[in-house]
Amino acid sequence: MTPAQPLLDLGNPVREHPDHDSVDLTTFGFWLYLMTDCVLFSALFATYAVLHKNFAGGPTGKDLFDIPYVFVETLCLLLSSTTTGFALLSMQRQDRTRLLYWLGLTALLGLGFIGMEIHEFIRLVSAGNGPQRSGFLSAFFTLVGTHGLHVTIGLLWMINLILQIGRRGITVPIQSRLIRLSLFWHFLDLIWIGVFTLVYLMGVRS
Amino acid sequence: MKTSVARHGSLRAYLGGFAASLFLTLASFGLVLYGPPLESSLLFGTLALLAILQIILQIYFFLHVDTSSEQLWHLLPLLYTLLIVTLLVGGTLWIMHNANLHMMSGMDP
Repeated sequence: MTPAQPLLDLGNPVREHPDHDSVDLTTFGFWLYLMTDCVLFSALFATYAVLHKNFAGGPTGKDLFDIPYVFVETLCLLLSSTTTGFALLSMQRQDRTRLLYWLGLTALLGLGFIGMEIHEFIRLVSAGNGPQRSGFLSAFFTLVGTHGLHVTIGLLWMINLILQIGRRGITVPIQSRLIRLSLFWHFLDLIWIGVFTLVYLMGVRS
Repeated sequence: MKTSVARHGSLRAYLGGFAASLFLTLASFGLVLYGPPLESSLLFGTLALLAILQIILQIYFFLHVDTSSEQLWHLLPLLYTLLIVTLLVGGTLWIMHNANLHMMSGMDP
């Protein structure tokens, strides 16, 4: 019995024949995933825009948001987006020590960001302002929480890659993963620009 | 299909992107924290403009997407996504605004 042939055999080019064309193709596929993620976030942004004044007699953005706190969060993410770029440059030079340094720094900054976000969520929920309080807060927790979940997954991916680099060095498959991770991480910073503008900055003034 | 592997930007691109983003972020936060008491439509318009500008700059400096032929495969899906996002967000706001007008008349918003 012969094994079933897939209709379209794309194989697994990165693992079997690591060359740059296949890395390009994988990167392109990941780029398409990021575009669909963009559509997901736009649905959450639209939901927030529709519900942002449904306070149900509860607190408004002006009562809840701490703008200087959000500024520090923003700075963490922007810095980490830049250090990812430095990591990629070190990868190109095959400089393992520098690469691990920049990736480690990126992970720490990402950890700082997500730690601050979790702290903010705990502060809100423990004051009775959880997602069930009003339509505004449901939309807020869904949008900001989904972004935070993405950052968390990115962090796990990053830690995994740091361990892989430590064990195997800068191989072609690892370079391919690193390129995709950097795209993901930059993308999350892009989404955050929308979040801090629409949710926080406009929220305290409306 | 030649895409991004050959070029991951340069130190200058990353530093330039960081400086520009930092400047625009400071402008946005500064406007809200220390800015003059602007009319809200003017303030929101300015904030939206600053955000869009920062997003475009980061796509160029950090994601290295530009209008060159080797980046066409990244640019086209991005532009298509932009169309979908515009339809989705614009359409949602339009429909929900109309629904509110027709169904919530006489009630508090």
